Amino acid sequence: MGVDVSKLVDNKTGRQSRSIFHEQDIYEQEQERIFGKCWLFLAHESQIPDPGDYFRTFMGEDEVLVIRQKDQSIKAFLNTCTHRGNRVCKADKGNAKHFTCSYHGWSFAADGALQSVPLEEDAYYNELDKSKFGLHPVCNVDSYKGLIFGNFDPEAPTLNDYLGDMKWYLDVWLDAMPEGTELIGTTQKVEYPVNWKLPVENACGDGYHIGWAHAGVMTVASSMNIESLSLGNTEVDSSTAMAGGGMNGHSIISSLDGQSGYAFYPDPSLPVSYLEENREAVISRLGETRGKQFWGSQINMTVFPNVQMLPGLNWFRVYHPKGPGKMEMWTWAMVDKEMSDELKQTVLDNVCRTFGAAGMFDNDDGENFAACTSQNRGLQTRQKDVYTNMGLGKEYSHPEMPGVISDGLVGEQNQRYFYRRWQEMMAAKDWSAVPNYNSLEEANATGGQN
Amino acid sequence: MSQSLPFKNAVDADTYQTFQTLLYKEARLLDHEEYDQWLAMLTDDIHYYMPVPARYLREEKKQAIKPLDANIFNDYKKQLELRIARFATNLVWSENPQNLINHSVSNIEVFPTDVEGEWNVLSVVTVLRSRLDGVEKRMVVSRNDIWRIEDNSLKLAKRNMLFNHAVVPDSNLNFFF
Repeated sequence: MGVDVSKLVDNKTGRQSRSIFHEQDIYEQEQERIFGKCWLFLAHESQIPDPGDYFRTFMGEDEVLVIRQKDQSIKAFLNTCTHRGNRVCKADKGNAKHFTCSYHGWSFAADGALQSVPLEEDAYYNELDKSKFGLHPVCNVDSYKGLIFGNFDPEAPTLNDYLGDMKWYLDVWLDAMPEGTELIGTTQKVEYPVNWKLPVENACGDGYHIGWAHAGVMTVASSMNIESLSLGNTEVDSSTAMAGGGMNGHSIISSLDGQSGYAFYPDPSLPVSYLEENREAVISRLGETRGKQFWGSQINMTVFPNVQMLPGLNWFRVYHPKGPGKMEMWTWAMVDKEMSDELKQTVLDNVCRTFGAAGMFDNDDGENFAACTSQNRGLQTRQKDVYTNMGLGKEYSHPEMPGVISDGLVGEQNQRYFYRRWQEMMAAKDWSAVPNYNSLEEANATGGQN
Repeated sequence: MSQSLPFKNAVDADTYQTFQTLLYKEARLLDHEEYDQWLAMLTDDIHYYMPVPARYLREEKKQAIKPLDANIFNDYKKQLELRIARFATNLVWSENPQNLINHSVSNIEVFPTDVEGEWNVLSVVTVLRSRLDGVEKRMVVSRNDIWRIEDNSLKLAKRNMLFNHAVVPDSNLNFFF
């Protein structure tokens, strides 16, 4: 049965109950119905290129090992020994032929098979059926253009269907260049006293906060004027910037000028010349709209529930929930493989300086998210609702761009659709009860839970 | 009475004490956000570097820090000045009220280098940061410095740092180590 979420989110008015940022039983239901059912980012293929390469990560609160196999396929397993439950791998990443538990020495092969058990003959009398004690696999593992995802639910739609129309936008980064992308640098991990949904709603659509929350760094670090930010919604000009949401929880906000992604580089000349050198080739791969207007622009893309990527600023990020009031944010720089080493280093340094642990933008956000979380500990406070009701009713369909579209970077449409999807997943016992929509018409027809 | 000890300092007591006093002074300037005075203690070619740590198995060959590894700081003077300019705007809301901070410097070792007028100075800095209400954050960083005589004063030319935390424990690092 679970918690009744029908009154906790209202997409028509943009209202959310604060309990969704606080209650333990809601959090537990998220583990089951969101992190237990959605496709979750595991690693980028570039992080585990060779057989035996592994990467240790999380799917919700479940710790998993992602391992490149001998045949170059990828498998993922719960990082827990099938004997007494200890971890089998404690390193962040590396290369291994087998994973040996530090408790009793059970050893597992890269394909998860239980390979050897100490004292198998003397103490188990050779009666242990090792074939029944392999590592527990994540049942679905699949990749989309370099991004490896896992899913715990055998009934889930395919990754391709799950990403749906969002692929049209994802390809602006993942498929702009023939060689594709790679994640570079060690994983930048920061712990926040923050509910995991708050940073997602922020980067999925909140251009509103940028001018104010980041006022300090905007004053000193902007090398270009992002017109679509300063315009706000008073002079709606769809050629300047857009928000696209309502794609089964996935979303994008984007400037449409083709360069502003590099506006927060003290000297954007190197990345901008890279853009213009490759512009024609990208247009021929992706067409005029994506090649001219999206590629190079300031873009925020979100794959529901917890992956975000910002081409231009070039960060790629996943948020791991650690309880209703805590999450760990993992950040990497994502670059095109074709970029020169010099440009890759420039991009990586800029990611770290803007959105790393000491990043001048990131260091403005954490405390806001933390208080949006902690204030809900108060019983009286918690009974007041919060709102994402900017630009209600201004959504429309676009002949070329998929999803529900609004104008401008400053808006709250995508946040509303993020919480609508959260509500739909939380209400559904299985995938057959989850609506499927990729446009305003489909979104309206499936209605939501209101 | 003086007894000869079976251990020899790499530098004489005066030199050692000079660097100890210098590191204490630097810590005080950072505690008090006297960033202009701190900048004046840095050479123009300062490199201020703190890579992001990761946990690898000891036998793992890939564990060495590579050129394209992520960093918490990879700053030259221009970038340090940019960070300080951001603080100076008074528009960094998370620093108002001020987060009181204390830099404690310990484990100081001073070594001469092959270069005349340059010293290699090792130290550990423990930062205690008092945040909103009762929240306190403690971070420990090992520092490997090069200090150089320039314009008749000792200036910091290089600081390589090891951040001894696998996960950064605070929601911002609006300060220096």
